[in-house]
Amino acid sequence: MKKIFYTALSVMLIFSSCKKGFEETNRPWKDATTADLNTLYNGVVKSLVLTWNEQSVGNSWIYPITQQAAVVGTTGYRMDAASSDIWKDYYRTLSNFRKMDKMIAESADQSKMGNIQAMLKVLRAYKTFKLTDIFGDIPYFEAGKAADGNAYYRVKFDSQKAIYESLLDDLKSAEAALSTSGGQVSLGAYETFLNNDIAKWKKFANSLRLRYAIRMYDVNKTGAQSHIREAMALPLLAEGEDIGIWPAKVGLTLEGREWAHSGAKYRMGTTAWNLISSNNNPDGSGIFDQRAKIFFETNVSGKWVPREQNPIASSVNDGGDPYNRSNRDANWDNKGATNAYSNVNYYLGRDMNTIPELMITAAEVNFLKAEVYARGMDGNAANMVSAKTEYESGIRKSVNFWTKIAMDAPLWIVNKPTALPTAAELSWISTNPKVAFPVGASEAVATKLIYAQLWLDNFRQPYEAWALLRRTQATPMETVNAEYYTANFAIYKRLDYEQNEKVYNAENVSIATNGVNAQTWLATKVWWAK
Amino acid sequence: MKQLYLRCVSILLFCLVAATTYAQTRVTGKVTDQSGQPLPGVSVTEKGTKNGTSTDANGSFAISVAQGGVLTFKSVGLLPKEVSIGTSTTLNVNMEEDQQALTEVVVTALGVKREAKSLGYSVQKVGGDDLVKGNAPTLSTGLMGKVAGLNVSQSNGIEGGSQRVVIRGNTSISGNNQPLYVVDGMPLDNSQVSSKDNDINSVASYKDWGTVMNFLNPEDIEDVTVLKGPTAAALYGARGGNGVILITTKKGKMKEGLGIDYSYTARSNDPYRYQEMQNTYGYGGAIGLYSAVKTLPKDADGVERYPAADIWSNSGLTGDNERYHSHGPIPGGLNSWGAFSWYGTGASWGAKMDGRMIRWWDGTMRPYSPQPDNLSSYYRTGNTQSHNVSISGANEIGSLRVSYSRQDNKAIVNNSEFANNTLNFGGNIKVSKKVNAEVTGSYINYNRLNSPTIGNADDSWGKFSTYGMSRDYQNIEQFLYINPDGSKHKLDNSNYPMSYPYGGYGREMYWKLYQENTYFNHDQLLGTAKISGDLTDWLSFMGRASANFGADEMEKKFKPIDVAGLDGKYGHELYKTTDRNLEFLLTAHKDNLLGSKFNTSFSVGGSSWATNYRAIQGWNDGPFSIPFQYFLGNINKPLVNASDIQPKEQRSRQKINSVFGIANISYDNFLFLELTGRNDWSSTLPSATNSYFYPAASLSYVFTEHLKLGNMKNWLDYGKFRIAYAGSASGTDPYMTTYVYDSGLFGGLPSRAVQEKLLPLDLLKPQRSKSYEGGVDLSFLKNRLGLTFTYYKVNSTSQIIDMGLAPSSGFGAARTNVGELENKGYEFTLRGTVIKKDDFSWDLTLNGAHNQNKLLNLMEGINEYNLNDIFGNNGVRMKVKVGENYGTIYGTDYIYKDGQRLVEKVKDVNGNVVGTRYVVNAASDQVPIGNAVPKLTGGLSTTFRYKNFSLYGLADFKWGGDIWSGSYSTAMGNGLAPATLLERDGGGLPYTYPDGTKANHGVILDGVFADGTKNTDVVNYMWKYAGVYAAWSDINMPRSAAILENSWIKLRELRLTYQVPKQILQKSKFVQNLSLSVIGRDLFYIYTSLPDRLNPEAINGIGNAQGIEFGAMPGVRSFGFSVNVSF
Repeated sequence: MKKIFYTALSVMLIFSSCKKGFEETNRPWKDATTADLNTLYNGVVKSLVLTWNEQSVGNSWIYPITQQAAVVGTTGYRMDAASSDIWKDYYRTLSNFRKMDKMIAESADQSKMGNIQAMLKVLRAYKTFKLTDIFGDIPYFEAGKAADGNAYYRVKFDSQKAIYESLLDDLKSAEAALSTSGGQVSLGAYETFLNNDIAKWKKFANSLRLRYAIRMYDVNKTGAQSHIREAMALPLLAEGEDIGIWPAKVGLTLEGREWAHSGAKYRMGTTAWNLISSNNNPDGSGIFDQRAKIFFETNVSGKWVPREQNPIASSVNDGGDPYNRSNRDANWDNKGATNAYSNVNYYLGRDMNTIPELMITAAEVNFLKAEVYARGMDGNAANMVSAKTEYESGIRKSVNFWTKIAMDAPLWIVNKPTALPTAAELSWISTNPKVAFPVGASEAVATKLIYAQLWLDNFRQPYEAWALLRRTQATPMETVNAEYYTANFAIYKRLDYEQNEKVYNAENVSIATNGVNAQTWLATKVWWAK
Repeated sequence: MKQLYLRCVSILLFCLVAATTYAQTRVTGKVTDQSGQPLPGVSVTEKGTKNGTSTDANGSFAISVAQGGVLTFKSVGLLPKEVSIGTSTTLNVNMEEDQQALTEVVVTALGVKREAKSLGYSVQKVGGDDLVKGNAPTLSTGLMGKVAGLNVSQSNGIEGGSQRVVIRGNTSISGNNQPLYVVDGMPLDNSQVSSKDNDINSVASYKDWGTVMNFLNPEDIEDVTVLKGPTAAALYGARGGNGVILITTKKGKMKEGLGIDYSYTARSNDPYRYQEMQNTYGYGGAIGLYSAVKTLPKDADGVERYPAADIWSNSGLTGDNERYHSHGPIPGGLNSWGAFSWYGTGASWGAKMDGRMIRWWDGTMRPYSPQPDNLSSYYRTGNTQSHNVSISGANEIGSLRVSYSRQDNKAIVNNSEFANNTLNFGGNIKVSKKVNAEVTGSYINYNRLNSPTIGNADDSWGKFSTYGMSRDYQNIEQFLYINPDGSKHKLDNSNYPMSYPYGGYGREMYWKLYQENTYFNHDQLLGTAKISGDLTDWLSFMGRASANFGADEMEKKFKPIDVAGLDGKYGHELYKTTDRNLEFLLTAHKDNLLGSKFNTSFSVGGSSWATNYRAIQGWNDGPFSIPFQYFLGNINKPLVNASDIQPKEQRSRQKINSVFGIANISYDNFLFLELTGRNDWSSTLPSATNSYFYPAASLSYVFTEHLKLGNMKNWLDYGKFRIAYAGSASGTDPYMTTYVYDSGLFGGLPSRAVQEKLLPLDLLKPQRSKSYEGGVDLSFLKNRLGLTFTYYKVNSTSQIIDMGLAPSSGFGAARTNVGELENKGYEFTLRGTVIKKDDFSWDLTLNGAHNQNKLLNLMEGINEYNLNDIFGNNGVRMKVKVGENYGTIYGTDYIYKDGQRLVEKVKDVNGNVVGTRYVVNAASDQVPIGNAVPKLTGGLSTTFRYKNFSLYGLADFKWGGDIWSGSYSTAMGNGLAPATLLERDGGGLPYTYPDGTKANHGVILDGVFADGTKNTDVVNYMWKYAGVYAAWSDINMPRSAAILENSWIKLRELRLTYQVPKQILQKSKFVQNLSLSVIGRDLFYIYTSLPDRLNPEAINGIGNAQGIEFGAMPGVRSFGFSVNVSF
């Protein structure tokens, strides 16, 4: 019996010693087990790249909603595909922001990390504004913290107002904190967004502050005014300082853009056409705005034919295939035999390596300032002279910007501009009746012009154009068969919450939406919307 | 001490002297079984004495017995026999097999053999002969319908594919629910063969290369013992928590003659059961809505021509003729997909196939006539042949069996086949008088060419059959796909200006089938060495070492599509699995402990298991640099990302070490108690929690041996009650305990992100389950009737699950110990011998099982878990919700108002009403629409024996349980199902088409509008079918419409065997045994609740979501014969 006992005991000892190798056996063999601020920060910048479905839904839904383009068919892309991508991308990144906040707080060098903290604040503000503008109220203050415990697994939704106010304060404090003085911990080469250009960071923060303060002006004038006033007084983005993800700078290939484009069914609509051409001549002789040939191209017959923004009896079916990469790369003119309408320029989607994914342009800053002057939003009296100056400067910058985009894209071959337009070529800005800013313009006339040009400058930022439309209800609109637009597109005031959020945070979603169904919720305005 | 010694010696001497004083007879003889085979190891004892011996390898024995004494012959599995000794000194005894469980011996955990009556839990044995009776292609299919509570389902696919095996239902919410397989002591998971970019867990689309068990040769299996549930499997840890299938391979036996057995089986596999389709109307979508008589478009020369797919297909059909496109505009201008979703080019709402000559899409004039056989045009009759030769022998020293098997399969789809070679070795040797060594080993070499794509993929013929192929489809692609120079003949507008009408669905089918080849090779070496013996008369030992080494290789050669041989692709993947298991068991036993009626046995043991899996997958996306050469480096393009050429890697390692103890105590041979305890150390858990203990206990009470039952004894032979409890615990998958970051690159520098899966804040703990079972085993009327019944309840808790989190938490899932899943059910077998005569007998066995899985709780605030889905929100999804039964199917459903379905008017762009549609709930709010779990499953087998003939049949059944049938849904939506003819053939309501023509083609969708008014709008029949069933896009369809109850009874196996009589064989001098059989397999469904000959066994995949079908392959039946001969 003793023998058995000792055998068993020795066996147990053998086994308990075997356990020693277990940790090594179970150690992850490929994944990184550590991360530092540099790499996490770089990951946050990476998250600024647009998600694929955000773009495909933009092309099939947001363009016809904003009327920046018309569609000749449905694509089958569902709006909730974009909801899912945008929502998940944001909160995944938010958890990284939280992680970095914690790492900084625990760092011995915390006091030297003011710049890093400020950069993070600005990027977080940008991403959060973008999200709340698309969805309305969202979880924010307690969101992204599940790593702190299961109390944060299902968090409440915060009001868009509270989020706006908090983020604007963040932008203000971040701008103030950004410093070029020595002694700051630097992200070095890992600062892949603005390459440690502190001055540019400040301009970016101020410009965002101006954009979003203006966005809430009509619903929160007192809150907005001081931000607008302060931002107007601080350095803002100037020509050549357009902010976005510039793929060439970071060695990126934007496959999602090309993919989203290839399935799109958008065409130049009458709404945009009316803003860039003086007449409907199919030879394009009425085109005055150089951006026309950058944003759009002719149909298969080489004609400029805008698609009726709201189809009418004489509308024809366009079975063209203008975004078929293999066809078009081989033969630019091969747009599909039945391509009846002018297309959104093939190159805009086909280019994956040079055209930026824009966040805010210098031209937009001019238009924002123009609105401030025209409406006296900074507390001063309206100043139409300054408004006109900013307005015209904005158009000029926008035309130059887009011309340069086309010039710099190696893929761009057909109708490629070779130089920036001359002053004479830009004279339409002050002379064309569709564009010219009258000297004694009323606020309504002035803002309509400003919004139209901002709307056009936003051509590759359809979600921004959508925000402008929802805020102002004064962006360009086709009046022919407007009922069609009302029935099919005007109803969309936001995207619906993401599916998993509805499943796993059901109670809070229900509180946020008052329990209304998805269809009703999509048609419910966000806080700042008109 | 010395005194004691002397006393003993003197007693012994006295006994010897006394013994010699009685008259003794020396008896010699031979013990054989019913077929005359010698029986080694039979215990031969003189009744009432301790005098005994046992038979040797030849079945011979010799014993001295008192004159007039009685010899008792006993052996496990045989009916005991008593023979009185007369004056004869030679005694040949024939022993009968025990047909019932009275003294049946079963192999239990760790390979320990136990008498069935002593077991307090449920096990069921299937003999190797029964396994191969119906020439089942695999071990798993051989078990179909034979074991109560063991559900074997085949996935949608062809022979060589995987089976899902589940015992007593699902015990894991998210994990693997299949049992553990133990082959001669080596535990193996029945994992599926991996291949790059092939999601074998998908219910939508996959290629099925089979599972590990596919490679084992059923002919080499001695028997299979199914240990049901964790009670029986307590000693395998929770790896056995889903039950254990113990496989014992054949060992050597003493045989007459040369000891050589040979068998040959040939089976022809006939795909015969195709979905029933209408054969009246052909190609067209929107065209169904324009006019009472559907027409075909005309070419410029006025000749009728084949229609085309999309309006952007450059088909030459413009203007008014756009309506002839499958996806042309509907009257009023809406796109057809805006009305009916993306329904595919299979839509057959077009012209009548009346035989008129039209210009086909390839430009040739062909008759527009019904094509009833177009579904089958892809398939061929396959066949499977196997040869098995074995040599077997035994003597006093030991035994040996060596066998070789070769199996060849020609698949029912073209360009696919496999061959399996198995070399099997089993032997034991008596190392010394008390020590026995046993070695078994198998070498398996399996090669397969291609496995068809299943489900929702563009090269899946199953999908094409309903989604891509219209009813007028003529399979000319099979002749067109390749140019005479061997390059790909593109089915595009350049070759076919009328355009190819089946979109992307049929275009690549044949090129992929014949020219994109995958070669799969599997090599496996599986072996066990075991030493056992007695150290003393009360202490025995067993030590066993097992190893499994598997190597898989996949080579994917995609032939260049160009003449130059450059535009090709190549993939090369290597997989390596190494498993090893070491075990020992030390057993002390004592019968009649201290003179009492207690028999006791105590064992302690230990085991150490380790597994190591590695894979490398390389892919060359082309173009090639060297024409027609297939290797990874043969690439000629500037590489954009390093990842373009980097091979992918996978690894998985884990270890489990264990100690365990078993105590068996029995009283007076009627009461048996077994207690076990096991402690595991798992490498997959954090070191603080990776040691865990779990106990089990079971009690068996054979009341017929205990109670005086009086007259009952006349009809009740045997009765036993049993109860058991078992705890069980397990670790999880490797690499789950360390926090890791997602890594990437941006701007040329590394980037990191917090991983989407959140680790638990406290340590991961082992998953636990508790199970209870109770049952009764009865045998009546001299064993003519037998019944076993078991009720069980299993509660699985602390499951390690990646619980979905709201994204706003910052994470996609939290890995945590949560949830409780309860399994309740019963299972029974009823066995009867209806007739038992010398040369005629008829046996029947029925088994059945019912299981209910219920999710009792999950994580606080979270009450559902997603299993799988097809088409996401737009299709159907299976998920488990707290309080609901496992297996619920979710999807969109009708919305009701005052008990009536809600309908709405569909309007065109100008506001004109063009149709009516049911209102369904939003796709994001899927509701329960069915449940896939059957109410009862089981099998009925029967054997008739008449003289030298025996007829065996097995029917298995599944009663209850729903499926969402994508094939049905698509056929209804596309106008392929026979039911869609009703209105088209004039059986509808009077209806006026937009062009003024009238026909009885109208329908009213039964329902009310939102304002409560009854719908009386007569609309075109397409709104009843295409508007309800069609497909998936932003148009929501009620998925509940294609939920069908799937109950069936199938004649699974049929075999008629003729045993050539011994007298005839003896004349040959060398043939010892010869039997000839004809075999039918999967012959037909005796009953099926599904309409339109839908395949009831075409569920996609072998995962936990077992209620989704799409792209079903046809039903296949097999006919064959086999010859078994012994020399």
